[in-house]
Amino acid sequence: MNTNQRAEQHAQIPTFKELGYPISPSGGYSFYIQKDAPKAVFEKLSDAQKEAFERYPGEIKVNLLKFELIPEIPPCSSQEAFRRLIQARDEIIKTARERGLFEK
Amino acid sequence: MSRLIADKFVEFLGQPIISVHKPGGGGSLAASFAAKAKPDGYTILFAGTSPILINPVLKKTDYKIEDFIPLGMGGDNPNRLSVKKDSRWKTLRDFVEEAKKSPAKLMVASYGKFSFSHLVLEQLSQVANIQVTHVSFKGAAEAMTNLLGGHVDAAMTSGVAGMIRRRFASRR
Repeated sequence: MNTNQRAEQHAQIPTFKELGYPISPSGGYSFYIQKDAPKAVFEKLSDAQKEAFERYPGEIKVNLLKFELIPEIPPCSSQEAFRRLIQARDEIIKTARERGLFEK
Repeated sequence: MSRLIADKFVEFLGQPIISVHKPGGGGSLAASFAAKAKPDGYTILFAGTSPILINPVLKKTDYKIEDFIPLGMGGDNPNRLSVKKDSRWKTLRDFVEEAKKSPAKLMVASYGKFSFSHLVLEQLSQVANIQVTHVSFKGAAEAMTNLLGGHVDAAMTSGVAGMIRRRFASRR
């Protein structure tokens, strides 16, 4: 499994990393808005997500587990999510270059 | 999945959220639709890694990651390398050792060419210094079905494939 730590629901499955294969962490699911959206729109949606996770952490966790996701509750911030995405993208580009995978 | 999570937002937004499924292009059609929509908050995208990260890098898309702002990330979506329960490999090291002895002989499924599972398989091949034959399927369910049918030796999948595993387990 390409995560930094074992998943709660699959504690018996080791990570690639602990087996000696340092593979970059997996990606995640997120809600996105357009970059040109007004700040007030971003804040309204972001606050709604935050409040939902605070009010219903158990139900959201169960729903995420249904889809075999590893819940992150509370969710990381927008800035942290973007940082992770860019990091993952850079690693993908590196792998794609080294493995000759570009279609463009 | 987006509906299950978004339903919890409703009471804090004060209005309903309608989930629209836009399949195609490994999620690119949905991402493209959202990127072009009026940025008023009435069209938001729920997406995993492939449409946002991988497709704009490896394929031709009319959007890029910088066109979006994530609201935050609440779930990690790991990829797993699976083999059949009765396979001759009991550990990943067993599998890697055989792949080293027989380059390109072992067939490993992913849920799509240039998908995140394909990229993770490429990363594993790179760090383990092995060569396997990548077999691309149209989704994780198809990849797992072919694994269970013995048409491939292993499958790199995430998410939905785990649900299939659970369904099979529940039938026993």
